[in-house]
Amino acid sequence: MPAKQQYLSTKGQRALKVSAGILGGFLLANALHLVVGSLLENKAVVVITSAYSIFFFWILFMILAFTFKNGWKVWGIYLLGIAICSGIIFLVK
Amino acid sequence: MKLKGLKTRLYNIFFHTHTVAGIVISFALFVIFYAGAFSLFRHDILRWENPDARIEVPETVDVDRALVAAMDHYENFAETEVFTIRMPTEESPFVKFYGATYAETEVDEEQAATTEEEAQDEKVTEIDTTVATAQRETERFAAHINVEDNYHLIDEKEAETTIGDTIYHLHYFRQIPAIGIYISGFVALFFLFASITGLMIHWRNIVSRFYAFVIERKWKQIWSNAHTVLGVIGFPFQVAYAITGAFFGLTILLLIPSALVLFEGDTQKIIAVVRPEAAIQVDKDAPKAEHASLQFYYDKVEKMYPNVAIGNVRAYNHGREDGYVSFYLDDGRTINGTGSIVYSLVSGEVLFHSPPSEGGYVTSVMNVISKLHFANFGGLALRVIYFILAMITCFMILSGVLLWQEARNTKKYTDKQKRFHHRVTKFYLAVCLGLFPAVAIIFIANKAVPMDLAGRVAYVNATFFISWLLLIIAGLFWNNFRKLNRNYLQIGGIFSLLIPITNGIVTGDWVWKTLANAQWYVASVDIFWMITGLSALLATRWIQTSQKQVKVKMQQPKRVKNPSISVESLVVNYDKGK
Repeated sequence: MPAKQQYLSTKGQRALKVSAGILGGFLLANALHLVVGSLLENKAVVVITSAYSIFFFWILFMILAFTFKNGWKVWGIYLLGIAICSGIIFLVK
Repeated sequence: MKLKGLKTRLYNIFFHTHTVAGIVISFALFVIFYAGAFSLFRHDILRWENPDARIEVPETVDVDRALVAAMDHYENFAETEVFTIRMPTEESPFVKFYGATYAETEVDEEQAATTEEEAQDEKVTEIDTTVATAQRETERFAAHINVEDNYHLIDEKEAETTIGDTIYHLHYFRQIPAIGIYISGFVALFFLFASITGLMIHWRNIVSRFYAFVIERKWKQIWSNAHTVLGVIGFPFQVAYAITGAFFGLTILLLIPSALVLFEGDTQKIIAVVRPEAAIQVDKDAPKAEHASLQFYYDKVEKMYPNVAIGNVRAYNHGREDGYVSFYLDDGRTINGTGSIVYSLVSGEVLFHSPPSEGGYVTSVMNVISKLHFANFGGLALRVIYFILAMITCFMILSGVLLWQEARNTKKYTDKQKRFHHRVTKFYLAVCLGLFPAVAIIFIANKAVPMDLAGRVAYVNATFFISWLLLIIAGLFWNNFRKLNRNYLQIGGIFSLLIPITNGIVTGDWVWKTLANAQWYVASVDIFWMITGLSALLATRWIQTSQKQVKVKMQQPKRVKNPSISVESLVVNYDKGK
């Protein structure tokens, strides 16, 4: 029953994916909400929705992080996503 | 029927992440669910735990007299600070008063703690605490008032009983200073992760295995069935709790980014969004003003909503010309049955009005989150269902731990690894199962420690935590899981049965008496523990007799040198002919 070792990645890769999922996932989930929040006139809806939706997105990004084979790629994509979101927020302001 | 599941690589990866996340949080999660299940009834047990509360719910409450009681009791009562008067309910007959006094000394940790408590108690979030503490040097207090006893006020620090609160605090690890609530928040978050990955890996068998609740085969199979089937059945409940729990624990993580980016760092604006009634600007130094009493507005609201209970009355900047009062309304029957109405104290003008059950999306989300979490939208029956689901979840968690250990009890693992798995499982089981007798013990301690002993709450709580610790230590010496299980059940069962007896001896309210007097809240606690105790003892007997029925053959381990873990290679052959 335990997972078969040959499918699991190395320790370093795992650390990358875990950190990308938890930290990167949190930042990305927040960034996405903030983009929507800064684009919409009614910010209240976004803030209030984020009370639960942020956790779904956060978990989604944690899960997605593990589907990649390369942990650096995950970090790269997440950072890129965060950068794009920040850019949009900056432009809107 | 097989559903299309994950591809082999992903299956194995998520299997592993599910295992790691699950095993790391398991015992903390168990404590959260177990303590949480009892916390659902923390108001209901008030009459049981405190004989002074064995009174009828007062028919009318004069909020002004409650305020006077607080002003008389606290010399430095801070009138302009927010204060809340929580109305008595069917379950708890006391008026609760949350207010502030001007601090003479430095602000201490108690302050933050009390406000947090208050926020949770009133089913709002910690957002509110920013309002209360952001200003002058004040200290929050919590107290309860006995209306029948001439509005006698007792500060919670001097309260005589707190088992409901102690267990509730354990639910979010408040006993761990400062970071306890965040730990509980992260446990909830990873619980969500484990639930979803668990569902993913189980997906292909979700239909075919749903009815396969085998209890006669290998232990691995038994734990696996229990874990997956109960996990699937409880999934919606668990996800609801994971989300709302993560919200209560990690609100701060949500608020900081929104405040910084969307509201230019102004938390006041966020509060205005979430709780409009709390964000009306007041000036603490506004001129003093005469105004109508709180009771005047209370009567007004009561007339307006005769069928909706007023949950609490909250005054802001009382006694000043811009002061106002808000009433929290709750019909207690529907998930969105809350509302509020705010009056200006001086002019009587309605500043904000959100009728119950008519709130829009924004005002409803918070209420729905807290109602889902505190289960206060469907009466006692709903809480009983929640309690059962929480216990099922506890069983699901433990079966996961046992499955983890059993699945690693193969030749693929070295003896050292096996010993490690065995030790971890033993420790987890001791922490989790030890809580059952420990909770029973706190109920006994609540009665056994004399009521008039000064500082008795500390003794009661110490009894609880020390006995839990001793039970855990004892468990580490029981190397056989079967024995460990049986011992905890037995001890817990005996203590459970002692609870109604201690209550009877100390307070004189024996079960038959409370039943005859229709004191349901007192009687039901005693009856609950009687049933629990009897079932636990019957289960112990069942374990012992079933042990005799199966032929237990101890295969001497070939390589294991430490006899203490020989149980791992326990092979159970069931008597097929029977």
